[in-house]
Amino acid sequence: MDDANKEKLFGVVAATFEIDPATVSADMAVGSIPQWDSLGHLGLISAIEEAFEVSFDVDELFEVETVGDFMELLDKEL
Amino acid sequence: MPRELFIAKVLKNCANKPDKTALIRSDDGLTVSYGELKNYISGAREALIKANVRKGDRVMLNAAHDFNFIFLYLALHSMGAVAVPLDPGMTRERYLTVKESAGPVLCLWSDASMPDSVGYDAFLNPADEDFEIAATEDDLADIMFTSGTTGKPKGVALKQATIAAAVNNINMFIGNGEDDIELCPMPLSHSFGLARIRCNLYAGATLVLENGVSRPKHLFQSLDAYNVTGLSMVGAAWTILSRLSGDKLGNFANRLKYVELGSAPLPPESKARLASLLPNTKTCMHYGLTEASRAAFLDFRADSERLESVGRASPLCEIAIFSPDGEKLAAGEEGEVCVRGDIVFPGYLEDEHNREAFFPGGYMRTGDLGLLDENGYLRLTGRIKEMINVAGEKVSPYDVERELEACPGVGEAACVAMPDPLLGEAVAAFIVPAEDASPDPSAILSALKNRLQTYQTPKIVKIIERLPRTVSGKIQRAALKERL
Repeated sequence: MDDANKEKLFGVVAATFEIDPATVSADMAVGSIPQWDSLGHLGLISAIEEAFEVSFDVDELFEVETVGDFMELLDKEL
Repeated sequence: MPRELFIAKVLKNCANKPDKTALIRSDDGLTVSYGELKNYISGAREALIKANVRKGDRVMLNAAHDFNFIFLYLALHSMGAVAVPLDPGMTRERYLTVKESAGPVLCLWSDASMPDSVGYDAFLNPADEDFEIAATEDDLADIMFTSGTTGKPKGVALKQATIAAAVNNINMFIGNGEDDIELCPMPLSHSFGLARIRCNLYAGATLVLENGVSRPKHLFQSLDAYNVTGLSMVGAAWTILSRLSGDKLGNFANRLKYVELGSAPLPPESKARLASLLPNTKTCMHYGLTEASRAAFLDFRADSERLESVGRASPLCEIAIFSPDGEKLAAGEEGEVCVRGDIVFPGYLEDEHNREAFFPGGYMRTGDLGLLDENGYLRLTGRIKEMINVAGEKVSPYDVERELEACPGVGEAACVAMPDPLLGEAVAAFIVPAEDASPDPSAILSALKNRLQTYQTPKIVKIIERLPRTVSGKIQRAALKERL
C-alpha cells in the first residue's frame, strides 16, 4: 500500500474511533481499544468502504482483525 | 414452590463432577474444571470474609469478561452476600451514583481504578476448604442497576428464589443439560450474559467465554474446537455476525442444539434466516427485562407463522394486558404488558420506584404496550415509558439529555428512539441552540465522548428551533419522532 492510501486509511480509523491518527498502527486490532468492539468494527468497515469506494464481501471480512488486514484487503481492491 | 438454590446446585455439580470442564476462555484456551471452580469460590470466600464482608452485605464488582468475575460472583452467593455486578465500561459518574444507591461495604474493580475500589488480585487464590452455604431463598442475591425513566439508576433487587426460578424457567424452555457446551460472546454485566453463566453452571454444562462477535474467524474456530452445542447472543450480535460471516453459521447446523437470542427488536426476516440456516437447531428469542428475566419465548421454527410477535409466556411466567387503571384486558385489546410469576423480581431497591411498579395481584408493569392474541402470542406495539432499547441496553432519554444540555451552545435537548437496522433502536437527539449560539452537531457528539457509554451516544443530532410541548409543558416525543 502506498503512503497516501496508508495515511488515508489510518485517518479513517482515527476518525471512526475518535483517536489521534498518530496512535494508529498496522498491528492495531479488534478489542485493542474500547471503541473497537463489535459495533465499532462494523462502523469501521462501513467507513473504509465509503472512503475508498469499495465493497468488501463476506469471505474477505471473515478474516479481518487488524488495521494491517484492512491494508492487505485494500491492496487487492485498489 | 421451593427450588434448589442456584449456588447450591453449582456446588453440588462441583462435588459430583470435579473433573468436568466448567469454563473455557477461548482467547487462550484456559479451562477451569468444576473441582477447581469450587476451590476458587472457597478462596474468594475466605478473602471476602477477611475483608469483613458478611451475609447480607452488598459488594459492587465489575463484571469483566473473564473467569475472575465469575469466581467472585459465586463466592458472594455462597456467603449470602449481595452481588452488584457492574459494566466494566461504565463512567466514573455513573459508578458514583450507583455506589450511593447501592450502599456497598466493598467495591471490587479488576484494576482498582474506580474511587474507593479494591483490585481483584487478593481474592483469587484458590483454597481447598469445605464450607456451608449461608444463603437462603429469601435472601437478596443480586442488585442489577438499570436506567430509570427519571434518569436516576434503579436497583433491581433479585432474591435467591427469583434467580432459582429464572434458571429453571430458562433451562426448561431451552432444554439444555450437562452435556452441553455453550459459547457466550456477550458481556457478563448484562442480565442476559449473567443468566447464561447461571444456566450453564446450574445444569453442570461447560461455558465458553468468547470476547464479542467481531472476530468471526476466531468465533467459528471456537465453535469447532470446543464442540460447541449452544450459542447465546443478542439480536444485534447475530446481525453483525451475519454481516461478517454470511451463511457460515449453517456449517454448524448438525452440531448446534440451540441458539438463544436476547430481548431486543429484530426483524422477522432475520429470525427466519437464522432458523433456515440451522434447521435442526432450537433457534429462539426471549422477551424480558432485568426485572423479569425471560417473560416470553419465541421458537423461530415452532412459531414460524408468528415471527412478528415476541412469543408466548415462558414456562414459569404469566402475561396479561392491563388498562391504565389496572383492569385486565381481553385478547386482542391493546394495553400495558404485565407479567407475574416466580421469575418476577420482588421490587426495586428504592421505594420511590416501587409505587407504580406493580398492579394488584402481583402483576409487574413492564412499561411496554402490546396485545395478546387468542393463542397467547404477545405482540409489542409501543412503549409507555420513554426508554430507548439499544441492542437490549435500556437508555433513559433523560440521561442523554442532561449531558447534551451541559454542552456549550445547547439550550434544550430531547431524545427519542429511532429505528436502527442493526441495533433495533438507536438514540436520536434534538437540540435547541442557546441564545445567539450555533452549536455544531459533530462537536456536540465529540463533547459527549467519555460522558456517555457508546450505546447511549446519539446516532444523529438534529438542530431545531423549539421542542414541541403539550400545554402543561411536557415534551411531545411522538411529534419529534415524526421529524426524524
